[in-house]
Amino acid sequence: MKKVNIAFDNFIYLSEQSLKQILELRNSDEIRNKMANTSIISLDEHMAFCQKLNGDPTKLYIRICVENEFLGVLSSVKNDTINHTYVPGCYFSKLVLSKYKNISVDMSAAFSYICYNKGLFYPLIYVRKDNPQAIFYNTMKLSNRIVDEDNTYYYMLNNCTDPKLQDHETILRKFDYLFDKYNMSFNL
Amino acid sequence: MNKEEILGIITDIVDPEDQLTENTVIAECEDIDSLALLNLFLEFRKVKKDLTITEFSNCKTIKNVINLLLE
Repeated sequence: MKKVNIAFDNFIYLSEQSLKQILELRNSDEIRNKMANTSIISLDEHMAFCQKLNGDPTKLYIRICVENEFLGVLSSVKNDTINHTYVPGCYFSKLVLSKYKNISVDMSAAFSYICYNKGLFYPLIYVRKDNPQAIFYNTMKLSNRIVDEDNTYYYMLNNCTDPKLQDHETILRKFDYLFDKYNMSFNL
Repeated sequence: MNKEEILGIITDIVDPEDQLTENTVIAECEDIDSLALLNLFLEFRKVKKDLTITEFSNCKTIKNVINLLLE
């Protein structure tokens, strides 16, 4: 089977045009209304945010392109390499997503791989309670466990890359299938 | 609703390339994406009105879904 080409590019290396394309998706109703911050983000705010990412080790924002088509964004914030924790996030273009079976799950796995290699082992996941699709995606497709809740969010954990539970080789083997399925290029 | 009817509804909504069985593991099945899961939840809540998001999200296999609805 032909491998699908995937490119992961850190926002800090992207052109203004590419960053504008990302903002367009982020501000679309289908994405914006499901985010923690549901406000429309202005171009100035977005560009200032992206500029600050350079040299900020607590944040990582990555654009994903599939066969040169913009698929979406993977992100981690509150990156803590001492406690090895991070708060992951993602959003995808529904249109591009529909062309590739299971790709959102695979891209979440790829992001776990990227974070693991950056010393970030424990994702601290929170999902809005009014977003059942994201809840089902996290629990039923990614096997995250709900460990707590408040009025707005479910809080979840995943021990897929926990080095206290598994050795380095075991963790890396979990991602082998990604390299069998995709030609992945990383510009992180 | 019996087991076969539930499996029939799941198959109609998921429209899988590979046949779904009770032993199908949701996380591993490429035919079942999060949108299909949402549609299944909405459909099943019509017949089991007290079905909660957390109950449904605990299902790992098609058998778990069937058993949840037969409870």
